[in-house]
Amino acid sequence: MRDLSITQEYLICAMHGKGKISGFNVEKLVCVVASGLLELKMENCIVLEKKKVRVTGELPAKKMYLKPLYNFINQPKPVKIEKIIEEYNYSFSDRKLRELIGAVGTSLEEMGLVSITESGIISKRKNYVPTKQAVHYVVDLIRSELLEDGEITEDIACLVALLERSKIMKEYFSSFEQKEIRHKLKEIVNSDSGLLIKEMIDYIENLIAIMTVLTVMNTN
Amino acid sequence: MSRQRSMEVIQQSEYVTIGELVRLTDMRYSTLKFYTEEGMISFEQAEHNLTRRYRREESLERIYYIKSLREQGKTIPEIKEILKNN
Repeated sequence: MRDLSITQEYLICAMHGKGKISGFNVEKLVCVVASGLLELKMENCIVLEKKKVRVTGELPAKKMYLKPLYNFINQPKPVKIEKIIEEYNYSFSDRKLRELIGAVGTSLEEMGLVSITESGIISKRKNYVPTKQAVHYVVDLIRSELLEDGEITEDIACLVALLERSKIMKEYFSSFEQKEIRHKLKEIVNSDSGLLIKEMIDYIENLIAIMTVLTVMNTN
Repeated sequence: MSRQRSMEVIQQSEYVTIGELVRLTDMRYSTLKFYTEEGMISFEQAEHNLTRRYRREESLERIYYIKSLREQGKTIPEIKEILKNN
């Protein structure tokens, strides 16, 4: 199996089944954007501030599937997080989000990890259905780190935080495993070396909070 | 905490973790865990954080050998006997 990134692994778990994410599943949709932002941060391409995001480095060639998101942030001035959420998760058209999912989905298709199907009658949309092997692979990686003694990588801790926040864990892990994993994640967050993971979890919460505020403001 | 190692790095390492064996062999974690618990794959345990470390080349050879025996229709007790006599 080739190297997979957080965004690719998150999409494999989030799109399992029909190969798409329902428009009603706000947390999953926000976490797609969050996974992209966190991956860009881990690659030192961007800096995440409380309310803004700014580009600090070039996008590596191996991360071209994040180009739509990177290009959106790559502005002369830092981009407000609200603006990102508005464009990706709260716009009338979901063009930006589809563009990002399409780029990541295509990278997975090139590796043979998803198959493409089409849905929709008037406007055809591509769905990226993960293979059983791809799903097992990602789930096993999580098990092999979080259910074993020893070091846990930032990549897996971050992926688990995204899956946990978007309530996907229960689809793949038994209640016993979920309990163990949550306990491990809590230990990491409370440890000195877990500062980065704590920041990432706070960031995911912040994005979901912004989305909630936007929803409330527009329904009142 | 550190970042996940790339396949390029893993493929050149003397020691790997069980997760890295999953990545190298495309086998299920539960299968490798079972082989480990049954003493079919050997490991070393680092004292400071209890991480199980596997010798990459030796473990891969052993895993593929077990896999070939399974494909020949051998049962786990039979394989354990074969490994013991090797």
